[in-house]
Amino acid sequence: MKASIESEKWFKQILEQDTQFGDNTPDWLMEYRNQAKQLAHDSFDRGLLPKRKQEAWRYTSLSKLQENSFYLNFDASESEKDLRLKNEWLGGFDSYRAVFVEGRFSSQLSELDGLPSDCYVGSLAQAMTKYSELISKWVGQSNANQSSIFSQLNNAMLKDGLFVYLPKGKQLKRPIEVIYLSGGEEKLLLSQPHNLIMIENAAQATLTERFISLNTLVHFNNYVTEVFLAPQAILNHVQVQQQNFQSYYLNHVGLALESESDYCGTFLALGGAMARTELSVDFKQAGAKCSLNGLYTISEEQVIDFHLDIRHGVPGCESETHFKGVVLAKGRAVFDGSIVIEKDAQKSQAHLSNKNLLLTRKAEVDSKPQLEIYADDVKCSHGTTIGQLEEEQVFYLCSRGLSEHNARKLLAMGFAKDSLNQIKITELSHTLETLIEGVLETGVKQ
Amino acid sequence: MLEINDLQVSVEGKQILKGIDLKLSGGEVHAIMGPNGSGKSTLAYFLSGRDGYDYEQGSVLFKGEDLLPLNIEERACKGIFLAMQYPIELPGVNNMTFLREALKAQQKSRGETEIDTVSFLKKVKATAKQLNLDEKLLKRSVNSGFSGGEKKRNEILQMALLEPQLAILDETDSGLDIDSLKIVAEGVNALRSPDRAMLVVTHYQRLLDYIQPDYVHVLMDGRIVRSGDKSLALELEAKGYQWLNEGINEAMIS
Repeated sequence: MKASIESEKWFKQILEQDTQFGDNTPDWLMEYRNQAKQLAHDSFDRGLLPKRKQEAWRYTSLSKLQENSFYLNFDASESEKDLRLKNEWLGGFDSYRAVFVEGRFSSQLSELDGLPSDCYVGSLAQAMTKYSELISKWVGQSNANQSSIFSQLNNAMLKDGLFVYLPKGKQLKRPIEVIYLSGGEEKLLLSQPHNLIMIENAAQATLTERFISLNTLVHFNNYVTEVFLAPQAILNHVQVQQQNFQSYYLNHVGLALESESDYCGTFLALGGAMARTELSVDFKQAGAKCSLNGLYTISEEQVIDFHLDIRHGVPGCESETHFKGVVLAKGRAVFDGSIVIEKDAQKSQAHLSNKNLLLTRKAEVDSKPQLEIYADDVKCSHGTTIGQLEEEQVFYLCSRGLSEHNARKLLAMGFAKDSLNQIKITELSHTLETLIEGVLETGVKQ
Repeated sequence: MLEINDLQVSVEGKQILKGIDLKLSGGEVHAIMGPNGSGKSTLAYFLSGRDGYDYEQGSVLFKGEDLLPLNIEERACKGIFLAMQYPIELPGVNNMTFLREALKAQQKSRGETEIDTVSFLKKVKATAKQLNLDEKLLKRSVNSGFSGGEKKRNEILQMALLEPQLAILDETDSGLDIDSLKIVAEGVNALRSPDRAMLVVTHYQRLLDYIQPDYVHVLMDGRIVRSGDKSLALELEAKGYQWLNEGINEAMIS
């Protein structure tokens, strides 16, 4: 018993590090942080730091994470000093580019020229003054912040992150491309960007985010991503998590969708020793649409975890959710997808599928799709499949001259590829296809 | 080209091929006919190297080399091609990518220079056109949602691109209407050449009207019971397989 308390100390240690933020913090933010900090302490004292006996963490052990002590990095400028962007980090298309290093915005590496003056893409910290009213009103309002002790931790130390603001009717000429770079040092680093994406009425944006490690050392990234779509706003969103296999990744994504807004997201999870995305969809008003595609590829001893909470609380909304996974080596996938249709949410349409391909004997998938319906006029479905490659397909390819390794890779790619269907930027699709091929190439060998 | 001596093969403990002797030289087309369950497909799959067929006895030489130690892809790269009775669907695997990867693998294994993209595309499109195969099917997943005829034509397309030295056609006529059959046969005939041998496995004489064989062998109960020229196929068509069976029984009695 004592051992487990000892090993949980790291959490309080992180919470105590927040005194070094400096003085130029607005009062509301001080208060906001303090409240979150209090909540985090309370949660900790109530024993809410995830353990496997908690249902939501049943399949995902944090024990490895808890062997380490992490520190916040207060001087990102040191880390970015000699940093150059590598081509492989970029999507290969014209974009407004925002780069974060160890959770801090890097103006040196970002490329935001030509952004219309009534729009904002960049650092949340830098936007605090100009957009104070907007940010203070909306930050923390999405479901991303509700339950998890880790989102409380993020909020308790809220300082920087991505801020995107598009005013009414605006449509950017180029996609927004965000790159989060992080890595370890002798001290294990924790970065906690808090991202706020606000798209006003009938405005449209394309946002791609890539989560990349600078080295192969242990690091821990604890993100909160809040997305607010006003009526008729449209967002095409892509998240690509490709951290190194030693690192930890948590992202609490909250989508708040107002009437007739249209959110289309693609979530790729390729990296991390333990990577978990908690995705919460909150339909605020009638007639909104949410389409979620996901792909995880898991090899070595990785654990990749998706928790989806899709809540239809108002009538006439549509959610379409399709997640696929390729699990290799001793990899382990957790998929927990829950749809709730509340009593008043008539004419809802909700479909959820999770398909898994296991390529090795030791690969493991825990898939738990759930559907609760309290309305009577709805169209819903959910389902899971877990399968292996058909040997006759492998034979067919080999009989044409392909090695068994290449045959398996090609078939796994064939299984995975349609997860990229919603990505409208051709260059990005190609880049990601190559990236996935690379992961499968090494993974299939093991 | 191919020399099979006393080949005996079993499947799940049951002997299917009970001593096959067969010799194919370059430029020849041999037809293997026989009733259901006689071992025709077993012979075809065994030669391709597929798992599940247990070698018991005999030898198979391909261009003088022992074929049996080679795995499936090595046999393919040496120039053996099996056009399947039921071509496999590969969801998500683009047909063009599949063709390209197959050719690339074979060229690489033979130490040949890889065909350039432009020539490759040109060749694929020209061959598809010759086989009356809709170009759209090249962009779709391999065989997924293809009609029976399209699948068979897609097999011949692969064969035309891979230019094998030994082509084994397993029941290529099954499920084809007469128009498709003609197109497929034309495709196959176009590939007849002095340095290529073909082994055409079929149930019916019908296919042999269009792909005229040099030799016809009748396989029954795991043995070749009669060999002859193409007139044997016509005789079988007229008299049925039972006629041969009776012949064997009589021979055994006397």
